[in-house]
Amino acid sequence: MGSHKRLSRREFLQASAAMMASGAAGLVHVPTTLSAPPAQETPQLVFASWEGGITRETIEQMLRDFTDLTGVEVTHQVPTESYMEKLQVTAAADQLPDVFYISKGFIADWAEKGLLMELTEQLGSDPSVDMADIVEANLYQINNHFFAAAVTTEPQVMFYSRDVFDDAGEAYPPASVEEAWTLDEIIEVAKRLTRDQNGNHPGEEGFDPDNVEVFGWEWWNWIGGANVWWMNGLEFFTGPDLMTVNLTEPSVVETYTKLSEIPTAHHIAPPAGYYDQMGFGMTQAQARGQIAMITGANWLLPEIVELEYSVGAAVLPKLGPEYAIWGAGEGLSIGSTTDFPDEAYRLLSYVAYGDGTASIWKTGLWMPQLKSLLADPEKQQTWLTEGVHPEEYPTAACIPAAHYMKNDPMRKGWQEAWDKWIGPAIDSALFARRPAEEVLAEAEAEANAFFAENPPWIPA
Amino acid sequence: MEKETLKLLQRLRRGNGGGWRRFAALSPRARREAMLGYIFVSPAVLGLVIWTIGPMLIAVWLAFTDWDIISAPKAVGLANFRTMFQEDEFFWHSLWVTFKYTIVAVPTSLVFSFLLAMLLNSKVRAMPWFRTFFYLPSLTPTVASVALWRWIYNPEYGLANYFFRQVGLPKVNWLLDTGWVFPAFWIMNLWTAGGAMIIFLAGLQGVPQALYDAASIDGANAWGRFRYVTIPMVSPIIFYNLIIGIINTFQVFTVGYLMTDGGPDHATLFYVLYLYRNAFKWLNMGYAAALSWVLFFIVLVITAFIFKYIGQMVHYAEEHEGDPEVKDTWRR
Repeated sequence: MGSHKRLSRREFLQASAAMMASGAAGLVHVPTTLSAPPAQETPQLVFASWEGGITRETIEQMLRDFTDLTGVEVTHQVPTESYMEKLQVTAAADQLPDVFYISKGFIADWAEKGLLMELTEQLGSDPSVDMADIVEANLYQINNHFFAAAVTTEPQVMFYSRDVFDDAGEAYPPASVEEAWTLDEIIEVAKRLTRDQNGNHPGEEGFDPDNVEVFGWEWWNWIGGANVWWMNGLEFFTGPDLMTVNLTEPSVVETYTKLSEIPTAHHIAPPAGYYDQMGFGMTQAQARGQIAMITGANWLLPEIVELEYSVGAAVLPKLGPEYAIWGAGEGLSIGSTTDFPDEAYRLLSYVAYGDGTASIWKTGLWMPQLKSLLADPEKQQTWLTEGVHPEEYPTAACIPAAHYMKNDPMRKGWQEAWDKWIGPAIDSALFARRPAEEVLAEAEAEANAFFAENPPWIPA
Repeated sequence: MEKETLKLLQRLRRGNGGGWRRFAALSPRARREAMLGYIFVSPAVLGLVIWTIGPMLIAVWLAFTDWDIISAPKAVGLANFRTMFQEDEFFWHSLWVTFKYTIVAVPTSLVFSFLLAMLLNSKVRAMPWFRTFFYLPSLTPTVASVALWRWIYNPEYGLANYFFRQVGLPKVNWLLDTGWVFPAFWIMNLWTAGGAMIIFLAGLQGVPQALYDAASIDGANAWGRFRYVTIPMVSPIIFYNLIIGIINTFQVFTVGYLMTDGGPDHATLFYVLYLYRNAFKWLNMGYAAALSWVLFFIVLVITAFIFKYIGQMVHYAEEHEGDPEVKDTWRR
């Protein structure tokens, strides 16, 4: 700018020296302040999550409410991209947030490494929450030592289009665990609901599997994961020592063989790539009357509400003699290096078990983590929302979430064994690339050899 | 350029005398110029040292440790390498997968991009538009390309199977069939040929017309001109693209990660994808560092081999200036 006075070299040097000196003084000043014993230290917590959009806004409102209630300042960090990688780096630098989301596959490893504060004592003595009231699958524990809560309750639920059922003259699917269909039963119903453009059903002469107008059941392959074991009354591991897995139980192999026939023999489910081609997801397909039943989870509800179609909720079919669903909720932990363990626990408890996220429960995206809120009809009414939760939701989703939900094994190395052998074997069996018996036997041998070399960490 | 700076450069080339003494002997102006030079290159040099050489050297140390990122690294000697070579079936598998990908993807991509460049080197109206059109895919972000190719390979509704149906071929489950997933990846790799194509095109445009004219006068037909003029003249560029192509394909990650996540049945478990999983998913960072150095040496050995045996075939015009034999190359 022409009006500015031009500095002489001497003035420039003097100004630079002054700035450097004040900067240096500032640097010297900072550690002095930090190292001085605080007269009255105000707890300040860092809360890290991967949430975005409306969930993030709700979380931040909840954190503000927490501050109002307790006087504890909370900063929300949201490193959305590569969240776990960044969290690992902060752990390596001893800079973990006080309270943070953690992918559940990491909990056992991190607990062993002493990165997670054990919650057992606080949970047991917390006057604001009865531990027995918390959904068991949402408490991440190893040998009754608790290291993480869940962020929320995420049960598997089946949603169906009432219109498709009405048009076909079929009775709605069962909405309670006691009445759950067997796999054979749902396949039969799905066959009757599936029709090609000429109105033929699978198994009928002239049925054209390449031109199906309505599919009966989007079974989605993740019903074919741990559910297969649990519903057959089994666990992945043969015992509490978590040393060997049993993947070849005849009932498991039989279930996989049956599941693998769904896409190839029965034609009741959309083929691979169906949604990519259509340019929409399964809820949109259901809204358009192209799929009768979809196997998903509670978090599909906001999408369903947005699409404004007539939807009902049902329980999953039983893949064996028992009923069990998978809980997909990720972990919520406290860093072991926190300076404010009591305040951090209070925040964790507030997020997980308080009603600060009630507004998210009401959208259908999240669900409460206390059995009483899930199972008690009176308490259900405090959060179940008309126009969002289908009328069968209490028995089709809430009761199963409270009493039938299970979670992945908490074992060091589980994620690696899953990625290397168990997951690909299940995938191969489900898509009939190889016989279930053969591929599961191979995976079992490999995984057990790996587990033998990598014993679990089980705190005494 | 300053006379003294020139002198400095000459002395630097000769390599005699101490650097600081030479620097001190410069006039103030030449010294200032030299300083400015260092300042200008310093961001690049610092970036290289801090973000590339530094981590590489640290990775050497980490390769001999058991490190989970979180706890302090524990020295384990050669254990990571012993595990890798003697026990880890996925190391060999991922190496084989990567090799299999490279061995087809690199030559096909080279030939395709070269042919494309020749086509785009012809004199046709609206050629800049054609060039842009063929170059654009290589600028597309990988994530967007993956979305497009997932649709192309859709078994029911994809473009690939549409063409198969038109010629009476059976439906192919491109990304879920272990036998077809590799051809799918090889074809998809051609999508990014635009990068090499543009370099080839620049090379082709640098071939003097006089050489073609001379060859024609001497009776060379189109094949003769291609074989004895075009190929030798662009051979440094072919060589460059070959080396870069090999290095890139050995490091392939994103497509395997996004398209198939290493599946089906680990069929696309590329080496770097396996390395990434070890580092960030299974907390085996020490092992991942060892894997990274093994990959470095594999690429180094292959590159050295290519330099030694294929590098000899490369024709560098300035080396043959005045060589009477070169003039008659196309007759041989």
